[in-house]
Amino acid sequence: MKTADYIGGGAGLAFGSYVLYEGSRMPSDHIMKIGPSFFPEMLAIGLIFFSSLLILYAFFGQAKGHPSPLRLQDKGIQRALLSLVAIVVYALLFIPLGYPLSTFLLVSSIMFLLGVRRIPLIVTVATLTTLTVWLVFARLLMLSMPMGILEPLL
Amino acid sequence: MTFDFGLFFQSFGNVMLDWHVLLMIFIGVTGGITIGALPGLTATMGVALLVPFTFGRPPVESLGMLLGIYCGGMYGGSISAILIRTPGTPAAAATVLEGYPMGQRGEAGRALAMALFASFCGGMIGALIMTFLSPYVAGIALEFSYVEYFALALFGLSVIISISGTSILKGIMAGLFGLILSTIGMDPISGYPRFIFGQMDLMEGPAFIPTLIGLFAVAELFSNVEKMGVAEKIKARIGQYFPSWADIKVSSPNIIKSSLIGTTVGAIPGAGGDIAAFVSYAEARRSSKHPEKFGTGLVEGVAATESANNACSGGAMIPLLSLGVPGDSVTAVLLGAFIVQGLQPGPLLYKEHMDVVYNVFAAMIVANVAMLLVGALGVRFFARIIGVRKEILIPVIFVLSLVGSYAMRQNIFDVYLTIAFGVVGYVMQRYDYPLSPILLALILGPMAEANLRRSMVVSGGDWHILFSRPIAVGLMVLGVAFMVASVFNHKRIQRRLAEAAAGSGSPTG
Repeated sequence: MKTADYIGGGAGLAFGSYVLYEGSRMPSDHIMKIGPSFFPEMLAIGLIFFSSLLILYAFFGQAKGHPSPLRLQDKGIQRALLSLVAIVVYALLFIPLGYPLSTFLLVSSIMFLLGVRRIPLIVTVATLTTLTVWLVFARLLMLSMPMGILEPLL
Repeated sequence: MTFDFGLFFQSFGNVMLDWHVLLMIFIGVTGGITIGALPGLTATMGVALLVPFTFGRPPVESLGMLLGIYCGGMYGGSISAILIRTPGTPAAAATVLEGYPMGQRGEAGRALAMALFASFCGGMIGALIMTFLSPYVAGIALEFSYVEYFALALFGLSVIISISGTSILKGIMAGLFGLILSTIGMDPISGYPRFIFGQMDLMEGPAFIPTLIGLFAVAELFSNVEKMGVAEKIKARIGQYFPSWADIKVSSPNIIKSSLIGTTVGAIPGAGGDIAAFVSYAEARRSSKHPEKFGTGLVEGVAATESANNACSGGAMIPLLSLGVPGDSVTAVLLGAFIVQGLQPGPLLYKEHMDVVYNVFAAMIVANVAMLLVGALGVRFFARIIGVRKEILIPVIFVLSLVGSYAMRQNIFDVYLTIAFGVVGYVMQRYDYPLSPILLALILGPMAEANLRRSMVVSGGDWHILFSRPIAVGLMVLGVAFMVASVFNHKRIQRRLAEAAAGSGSPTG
């Protein structure tokens, strides 16, 4: 956990410093003493303080817990990363390709990623999920869903 | 403010006689039990995931459904705790201690029947105490000015320490991170845009529902994808739906006592169902005539833990409804659902939307009755759900999360926001940074800042105004005392949870 705490503390320091920098560019309120930057700056100082404390604790061997390291060779991490790629691609395709096709592709690809190789099962689950979610959101809740390239057909 | 019996019975009529409301409550309860029974899916995730299904529905239907999920989720955790020794929710961790040995002896049906009955009794007692107590708390809070609201927000934020999990330091860091996130968007007084990077979608801050779906659903999904396991096969035979009269008789004192403990613990911000269940279990064991038999599969133990964690729901609703301060992560998500409906929980809700408040009381009571019915009739179905393959479940929940976050504003930016918070939540969770403080900070941060700034406007920049009103000073002192007590209690609670987890030999869900 020591390295993780160094990284976590470092991220906190960097984030807090950035907030302080942005806050310094905000207008100040001379009458009320506290302007728009007051609250974020106060919080950033707090974050910097506690991040430094975390680093100091790690330095003096007080880090708690033993999480498994984040290794790219790890199959689980690879699966998590690929699922992230899949949902980012889904978000990118959601409007141009439309809800039905992009959702079908997302469900299929994640099932494949998780080790399902039976095509009929993948097709059935992807179709049923796409249809059910569409029925609930578009028909029951009356929310409009992008149809994308299927728009002219529907 | 006094309790209005006329309005209470009228609200009961609204809930009981409107089939739309009843249907939504039953859907919520069924969804809640299902999600609660599935290890890895928590009640918080369930409520977050199903909030988008309430868009466009009237408040009483929406809130009825979400309260149904809350009640159902609390009970659902016991099913997997008893059948596969893996609590579906952290609140059911203590149920493993007695429930699983009962299942091993071939008494899974008896344990499940008692879990359901005790959950119902606990839920009803908690809901009734909430119903009769919260109007009085709100009555006091109606006198609050900006200063008291600022102090109340500080008091609410003091909860962060008690929900910090294994590391208080990381909990505080997560809370500060959430508070900084809550400053994104227009400044509440001057209207100056802060940290928006030219994105108009961020003018009102990060949208609440996509943020919480990202933190509590998508982050959990990444974690599930990483640690893909094999679904358990259920071998137990379930042939009992209600407990025997003998079991009810022997467990009644524990059910009543644990329900009162659960409601009290639930009303303390930050102390959730897991703590309530362990405290009640310890009390049941202490007051038992045969404490040495605890751990071998005693029905009284199941009754104590399950009545306590369900009573906790009613208790946690007291600060939410009367003060607008969520007691735990589920009520924090519920607060978001209220806001989506255009309702701000707190004393003003009692003034401006009294009908909604009483509808919530009625819906909570009806949700507990629905839980008893659905739980009894569907126990075999829920037991089978535990065996559903994750390869099927995970893609479906991914779709629900992403489409749900898009649906609220029909804005693709919210989907990216959900994914971003999913990644942040996954990384934070992996390294023991708790996520609940972020949620609490996102809710209470704007309340703290806006009321502090308004107080400054009223006083012309004089800080003494913060210490000029006794209730405000009392709340701040209480907040500091609560933080100090939480720090001292932290190690003791962690030790108790670790001992119980070691005893049950499995992680919480």
